[in-house]
Amino acid sequence: MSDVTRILNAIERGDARATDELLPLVYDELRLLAAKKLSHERPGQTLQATALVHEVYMRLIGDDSTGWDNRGHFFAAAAEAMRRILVEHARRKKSRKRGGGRARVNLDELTLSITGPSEDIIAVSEALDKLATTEPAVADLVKLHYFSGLTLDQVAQLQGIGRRTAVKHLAYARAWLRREIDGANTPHSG
Amino acid sequence: MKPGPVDVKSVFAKALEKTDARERAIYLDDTCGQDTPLRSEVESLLMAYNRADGFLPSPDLDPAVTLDSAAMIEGPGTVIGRYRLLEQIGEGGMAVVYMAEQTEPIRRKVALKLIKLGMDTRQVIARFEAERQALALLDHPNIAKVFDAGATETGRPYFVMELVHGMSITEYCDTNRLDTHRRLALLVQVCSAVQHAHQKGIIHRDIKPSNVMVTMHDDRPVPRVIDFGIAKATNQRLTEKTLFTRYAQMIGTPAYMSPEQAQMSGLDVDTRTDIYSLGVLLYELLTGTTPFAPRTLEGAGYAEIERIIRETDPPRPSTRVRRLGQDLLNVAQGRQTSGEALQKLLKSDLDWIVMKCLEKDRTRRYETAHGLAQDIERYLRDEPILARSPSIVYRLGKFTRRHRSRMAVAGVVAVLLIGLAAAITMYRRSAKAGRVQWAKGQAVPEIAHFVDQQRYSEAFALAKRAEKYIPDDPTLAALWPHICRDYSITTRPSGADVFYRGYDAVDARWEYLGRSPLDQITLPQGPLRWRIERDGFVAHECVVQRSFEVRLQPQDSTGEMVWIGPWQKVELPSSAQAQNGTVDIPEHLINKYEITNEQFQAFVDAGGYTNANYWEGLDFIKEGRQLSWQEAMAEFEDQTGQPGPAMWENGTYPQRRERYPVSGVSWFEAMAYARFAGKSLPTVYDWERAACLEESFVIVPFSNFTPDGTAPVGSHPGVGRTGLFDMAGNVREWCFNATDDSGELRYCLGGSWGSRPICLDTRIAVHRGIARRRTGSAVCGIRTRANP
Repeated sequence: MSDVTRILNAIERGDARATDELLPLVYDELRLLAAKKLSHERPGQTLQATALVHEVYMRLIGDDSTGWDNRGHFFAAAAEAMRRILVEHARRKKSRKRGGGRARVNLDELTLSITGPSEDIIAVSEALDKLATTEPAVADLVKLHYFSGLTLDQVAQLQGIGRRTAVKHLAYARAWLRREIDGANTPHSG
Repeated sequence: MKPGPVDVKSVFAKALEKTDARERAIYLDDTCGQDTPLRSEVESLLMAYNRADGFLPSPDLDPAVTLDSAAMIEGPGTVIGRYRLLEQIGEGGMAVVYMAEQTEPIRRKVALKLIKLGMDTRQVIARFEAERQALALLDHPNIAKVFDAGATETGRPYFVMELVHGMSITEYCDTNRLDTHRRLALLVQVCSAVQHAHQKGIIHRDIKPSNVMVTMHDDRPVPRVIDFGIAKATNQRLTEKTLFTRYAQMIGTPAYMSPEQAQMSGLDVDTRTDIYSLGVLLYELLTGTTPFAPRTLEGAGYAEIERIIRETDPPRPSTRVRRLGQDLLNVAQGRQTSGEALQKLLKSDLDWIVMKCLEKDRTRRYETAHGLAQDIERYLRDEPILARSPSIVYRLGKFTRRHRSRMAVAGVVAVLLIGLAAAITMYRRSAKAGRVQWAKGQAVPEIAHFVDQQRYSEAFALAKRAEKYIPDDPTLAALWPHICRDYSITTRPSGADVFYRGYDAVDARWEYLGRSPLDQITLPQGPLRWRIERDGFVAHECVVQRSFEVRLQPQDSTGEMVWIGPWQKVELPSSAQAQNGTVDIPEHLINKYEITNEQFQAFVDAGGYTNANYWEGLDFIKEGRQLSWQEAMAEFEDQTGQPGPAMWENGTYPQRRERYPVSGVSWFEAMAYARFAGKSLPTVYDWERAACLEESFVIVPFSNFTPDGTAPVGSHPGVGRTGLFDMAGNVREWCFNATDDSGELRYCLGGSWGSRPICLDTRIAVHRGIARRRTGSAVCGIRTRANP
């Protein structure tokens, strides 16, 4: 049983402190792995973000016999971690645009950059936070699907809902987020 | 209206199923009826859904991680906070400086310094904030003000300063071929700027030519010191990290660094560090070179640089110019003189003044920047300087030189004696009155202010000084009980030197108290940092706010140990462990620092992985299968397949990481190492006792929880009363105990770099780890215990 599995089990037992431990661990692990990839790959190489999450999953949990319930906490943490990494990246990209696209090549300062599920990942992320206040389960579904790279079936299984419901929730979320983002951009559209 | 709760989600989903517009309208009429808020909600969602085509596509198709180099992204036009970048005006190793425009609250042009490299932005800003008030008090014509600090959207710290047009002081002097006198006059102004800052409690820490700009004011050159407060905020110390990852950019900086800054544990820095750097600046202005040539420092490794700065005496300026050879002519012409004349000019007084600044022992430097300035001015007026030991012949020589034309040699002695006596008496009288006035009018209000802000150390130091001049002052008398308390310090054996400083004044100089035992010594309130030294014993550093006793431990080749007294712990039942009862813990010794790579290398080199004795009795279980010792050893390999910690390569640690804690070791390796060292692993109780869990609020803020990785052991002063470094943060440490009967999970305590600083008192169990990579051992290290 690994560290992460132990934390997951602790969460399962209702140890609230354990949740605090999980996110930083997964976040660190994601970034470490990305950094490691970085040192082996040439700049410009492309890696699947979802593959990154799954590799971290294999490293941290691997074939330890862990129930799906348990994995849910891991992927929730991974989704949150990946969302942060994507938003960080987007912020960087945004400022770069403002800076006239001036990018100086400095091999010592290679940074991880990611193209996320949407051009405007920051807006999506902020809208998601809003959605989570009224529909936490729907927001979780979006995060698990888009940031952890789980299939809709897997998410449905994790959330204990049917596939049809998952599809409906996803449709609802896309509409809701679209409206929220459009509303934010044109506040007086009537 | 239909009965039952109406859920927007399901109404939306149903409506979506009706692809025909009329059908959909009928459904909505049916379902929502007069409930217009629900209907408009669903309708707006449906409209948004139509616009959502291609929005958030399935993740499998799109999200990809690409690797690119997006290093410097800010540029002209970028808006950072209230500032718009206009053009780049400078670039150094750590930062890029832009001219920027501020629009509110006032419109002005400023200099914005953007820190380049990955620093812990929060810490940088916090350190700046801590000094912000003091910085705001700086008001001096030779100081460029620092206005503001913050972080960019991408998380990089920046500083906003008064915009100074000009060139560096050395550039200015050389371009204009200033003679030595005019160079000295400029430096006197620099000293007065530094003196002003010191009086406000600000140490610059990074005085060098590029931080002293010369601007023209009514055709007069005015030097202006920039970057006050920035070196402290960015914590530029000569560490392995700054040196080796940034060496190429920081050329020149080690040349200006004082010996105490060069020290790896260089926390103990005070105003006299600036005196040293002023001395280097003076050296360069006079001779055109720094005391240690940048080339010498460039070619040296970290340890060598530190040694040079701390131990080597640089040549006197006059000696240095003599050795310049062909360059001497250039240097002399740049000072409007000849080589021979320049040598003669430097020899004697200027040599003395410079060398007094460059003393390794800072107590022998000028006490203040003002003292240095006065001596330079004395030189300029042909008066005797203080730097020189005052022989009567020397004084006489100065005197006659000043009055050569008017003075008959016969009269010299008489006039000299009378004049000297009178001058001394008058000087003393006026100085005393001035000091009483200072103590009453300036010091006492400032002391009260410090007490108010709980800055007891500063209050105490000032009160001590003021007391000399106003011993009976009632206001001061009333303040004393708020400022201090009595401490008694005993050591075993006695006769140790005791030093102290404020708990959070980790950059302040250690104040010497005396030899132990010390009885009822009056010192500032609040937790204090103590340092106890005795030859042949491990130096002890701790944070305690009451009287205490220390048992000093002899120096030991297998690591510095600290004594921990016996105690009894009442174990409370917790959610993880339903134990209850008391545990008696006998006195024991524990490593002052985490075991370093260098120490672990000794184990590897001594055949630690090939000597079965160290591993005897450990049952290696992997995926439920018992492994033989040979099989188990094959598992403990470094990144290149050699036996060793998971982070190592080719059987050794990464270059220059000898003082970093060993990490990436399993519990088994920790056990084997402890046996090799003739020690054992601490139990959870040993460890927790030694860690002073109840003091975590003083320990954690000074511990390594940064995201940057491990730090050299002892480089973070997060200690409690027991005096152990890095119990919190840096790497976790393996304990002997298992968490359950299976024995597979062992406690690994203290939290690590990158983790949240709550971990000091959270018992974290880690798989003891045959398969180290999968068990998170990357942040696990070792600290051993022994019986006294």
